[in-house]
Amino acid sequence: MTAITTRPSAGRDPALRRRRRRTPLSWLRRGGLSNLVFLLPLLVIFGVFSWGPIVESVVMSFQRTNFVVTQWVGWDNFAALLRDPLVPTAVLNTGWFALLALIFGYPIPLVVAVLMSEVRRARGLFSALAYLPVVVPPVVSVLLWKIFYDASPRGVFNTILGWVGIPPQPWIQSAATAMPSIVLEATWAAAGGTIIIYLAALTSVPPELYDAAEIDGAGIRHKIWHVTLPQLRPVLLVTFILQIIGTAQVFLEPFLLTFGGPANSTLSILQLIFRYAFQNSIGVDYGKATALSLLLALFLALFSFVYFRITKAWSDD
Amino acid sequence: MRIDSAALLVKDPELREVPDVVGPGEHPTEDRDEIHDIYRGWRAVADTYPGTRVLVGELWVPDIDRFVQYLRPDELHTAFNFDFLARPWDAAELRASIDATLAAHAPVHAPSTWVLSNHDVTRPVTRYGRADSSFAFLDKRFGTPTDLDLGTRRARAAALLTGALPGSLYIYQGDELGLPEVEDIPRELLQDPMHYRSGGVDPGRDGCRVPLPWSGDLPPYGFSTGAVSAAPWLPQPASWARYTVQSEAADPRSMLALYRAALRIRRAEPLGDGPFAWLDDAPEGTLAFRRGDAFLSITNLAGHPVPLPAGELLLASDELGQAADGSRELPRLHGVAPSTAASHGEPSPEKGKTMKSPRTVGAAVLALTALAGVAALSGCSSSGDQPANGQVAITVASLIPGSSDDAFKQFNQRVKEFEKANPDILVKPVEYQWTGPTFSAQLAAGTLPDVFNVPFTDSKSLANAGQLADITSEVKKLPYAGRFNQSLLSVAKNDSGDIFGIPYGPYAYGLSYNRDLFTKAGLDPDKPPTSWDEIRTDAKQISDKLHIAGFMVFTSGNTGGWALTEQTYARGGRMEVTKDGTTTVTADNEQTVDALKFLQKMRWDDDSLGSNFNLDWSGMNQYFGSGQTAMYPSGSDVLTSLVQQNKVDPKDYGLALIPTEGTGSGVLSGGNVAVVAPNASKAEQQASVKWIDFYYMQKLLDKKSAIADAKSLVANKQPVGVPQLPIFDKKQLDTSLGWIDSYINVPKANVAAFQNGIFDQTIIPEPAKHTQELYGALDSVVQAVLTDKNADITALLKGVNTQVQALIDADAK
Repeated sequence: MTAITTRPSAGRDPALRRRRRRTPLSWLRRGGLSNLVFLLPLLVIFGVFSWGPIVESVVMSFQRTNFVVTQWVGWDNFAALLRDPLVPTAVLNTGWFALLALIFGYPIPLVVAVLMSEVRRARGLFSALAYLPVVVPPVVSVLLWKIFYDASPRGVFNTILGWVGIPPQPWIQSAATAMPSIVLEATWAAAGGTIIIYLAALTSVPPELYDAAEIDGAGIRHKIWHVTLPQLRPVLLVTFILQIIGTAQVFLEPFLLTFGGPANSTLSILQLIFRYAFQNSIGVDYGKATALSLLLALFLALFSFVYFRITKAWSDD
Repeated sequence: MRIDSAALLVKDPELREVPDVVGPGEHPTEDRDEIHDIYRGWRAVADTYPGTRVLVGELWVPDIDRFVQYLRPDELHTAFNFDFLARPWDAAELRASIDATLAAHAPVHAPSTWVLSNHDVTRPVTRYGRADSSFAFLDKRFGTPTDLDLGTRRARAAALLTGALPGSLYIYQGDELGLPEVEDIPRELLQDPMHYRSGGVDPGRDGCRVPLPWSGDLPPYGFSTGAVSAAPWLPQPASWARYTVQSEAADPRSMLALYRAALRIRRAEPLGDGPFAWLDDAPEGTLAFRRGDAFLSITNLAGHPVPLPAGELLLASDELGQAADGSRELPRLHGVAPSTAASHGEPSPEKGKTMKSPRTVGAAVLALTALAGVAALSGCSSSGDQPANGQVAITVASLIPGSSDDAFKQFNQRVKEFEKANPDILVKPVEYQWTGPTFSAQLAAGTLPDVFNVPFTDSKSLANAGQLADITSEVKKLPYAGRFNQSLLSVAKNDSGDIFGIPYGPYAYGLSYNRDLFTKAGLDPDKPPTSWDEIRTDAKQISDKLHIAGFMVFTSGNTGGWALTEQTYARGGRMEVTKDGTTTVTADNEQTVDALKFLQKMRWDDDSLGSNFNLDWSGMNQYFGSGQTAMYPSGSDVLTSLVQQNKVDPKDYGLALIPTEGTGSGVLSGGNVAVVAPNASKAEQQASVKWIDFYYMQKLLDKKSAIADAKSLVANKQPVGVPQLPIFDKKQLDTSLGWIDSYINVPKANVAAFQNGIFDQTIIPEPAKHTQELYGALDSVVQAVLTDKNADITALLKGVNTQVQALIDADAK
């Protein structure tokens, strides 16, 4: 209160303003304290629940600990990661998931969004239908899909396939089909959110651009290619990186659907981290788990940095 | 000479109505002043006789000052003191009554009298177990709940309290036997006019007038003897065999023994006469007084144990506790008197917790202590080194989350029994399931229960890692500490031999099968497969006929490796070999390869393993419970969980031996270890071991506990007779099973195939080093074999060798 009411009328005199900036007193007079007070809850919450644990996990990646006995092991955890044959498996699996998710999960929402933007009637209904899977709690939807994926001829999907004469598929019970099955579920679950983003972006495309293109004789394909996509470019670039970051951290779907199986064919990096930390029952590998987390985080940070550097030119275009 | 209704001899000559407000001496029929002339006359007559003639008045005069007027030197010698027996079990109330009684009697030089009940009053054992332990004629109602155990303990304490007070002691016949009020006399047999006058709402006084039991096991318990064949006027309960004089005289812990001992002391000390003084520095909530210089009586009505001063203990009404510093203490009399306020029904069952209302908790133990000197008294108040409420609270693992309400009810019943036997321990059950993922975090966060269980697989590693409490000294104190099967106990020890837990419920692998599905598939459910080839043909028949999995094995969550290890043992192979202190992983042994090839054939040639190859322990139980597989190998104790979690009917369940073939073959065993959280305090650790002893061990060692456990299991629809291995030796197991034979509800024939053969099998423990990681690595191999027709078994197993060997070698460094 005091800080606000006694604030000088304004820093009209540049010299005065400069001088004030330098002293803590002037910082205080300019409302620094109340700013800080407003910031404080945020700082505390982030500090306690986010930054603190981050620092903690960096520290832990150099330790061997079970929370009772802790010892420093230097780079041992990282060295052990390099020796573990499951690390390349997990990296490849995650890459495979990311690629499949990109192939299915990236274009499908875009196509659906473009189609939906063309729909004149009952658009609200379609939006609601598209967004519905996002509203369903992920655990529920994954477990539902697990039932759908029942590999016996009586399974939901296999029954449907049976109607059109396709033999029963093993779905998540085979190394070859497990990952695509997971991607299918993940795409279904996540598409709604992306569609809504695209829809919003599409409505912001000025209609006169389409008019101009039509006058120039452009068909629907040309309109999409030359008007819609370039207009959506900034949004597409952001959703792309979000998708990469998201898929690199895939955990829930393989954890619930396959637990990494069969035979580690769907073991993702995050799941491997989980295994290190928890699955050996005694939990002595928190160090290795945090070390792998750290590597993943570093990789994603680096990737994002490079990505934004490269695409900066495109989006500024 | 006893004068009945001694205050009612004179009526108002005008026979007036009873006014609303009655002043002293103004009641038209009761306690009128003229009555004293009569007693003066009688006393004169009595005094003319030689020897001792005593006039005793039965006087219900609430005003103590008017009461003692009857006891003036030229009237009655003495009278019953009903004020004391009407008071509730409360230190302040009883002390007020004692003070008032002694003060009123002093001026008339009459002896005070003490009595706990008479033929008009609810028996003390019943009355002191009630929420309202005072007595009033008008409050008597049918169906007032009581806790007889609590009431008995209090009545014992009250007997010693009254026995130590100065004056005459009266005992109403049957109180010395601890007889409870008989509250279930058939209504048509009730005699008391009070019952009929009340319009049938007041049970009347017949409950304390039932003929006494003297001897024998059946009514009339020696009350009528010889040729008399008529039944007594009131029926004696069938449960009274244990209250007979004959049986109590033989039991040193009986009420009769207590009364006799107290009376001997009363005469020897002698307590009927002589000085009386309250002890000023006695702990709050106790009635402590000195009789002379060398006699002390302490009655504990506080809600916690109180320390006992030094001195020779003459008699105690209850077992003494031991304070943290090793000194003796009077235990608190702990329990919840059923509340009448909770309405006329039974006390409401509380799931998962046992709340104690401090107000209704009474505590009583009386000790008569001969003291060396008064100096010793000063030590008594300062030695109270207790937690505020004198209790140790521990949390204990109850059941797996999702277990049925019946199962929880059974568990809570056991908790109540334990708390009754250990009033200084408060047990809070929490749902618990051992899972590796949450264990460390729970431990770090301090949210583990004080008592929980871990599988044999992990107990040793946890002990070595300092993640469990060292309870060596507590375990060694157990009377049966030396009798454990040493190879089983070793799983609960760390490498230096300290003990970190008590193993229980050991099991061997068995073949669980669904008898119903066997029948449906045209197989004989009484002839389960006895060789691996029979398993294969039976499975094929089942899956061909019923289109479900005929047989299935665990595949994930580390259980795939666990089950594969058993399949290896069954063929004589080993997953790890330790020689000269070095452990080598031998997952690629011939027998494991055979086991996997066997699965491969069932999967790809017969297609008899169904279509779900991602089944962990719970998943498989669910799969089996819902009839999707007819057979699977698992622990022989799995039926308990199948009943509790998957609603499997023991009638449809069968358990057979896993076929063993080849030299060195045997059966994988396992079990659980009851352990204590490392962050539990010393007192909590002691209480925890008491709980482990009570809940996990006593049913194997003590007939009464075994029956109590079986009874409550049956009452709560839980399986009794689930096959297990002995924790001590086979003889002990057989004995304990004999005790509960009539309660066994798992059809014996259904598990006979397992039960009859298991003791001829070699029992083999789990692989010792990095067991969980080994199992986890083997999971993938099993999954690969079941999902990839061309899986290279040998290469996969060699991979496991490398992976786990690296972990073992890293430890050695």
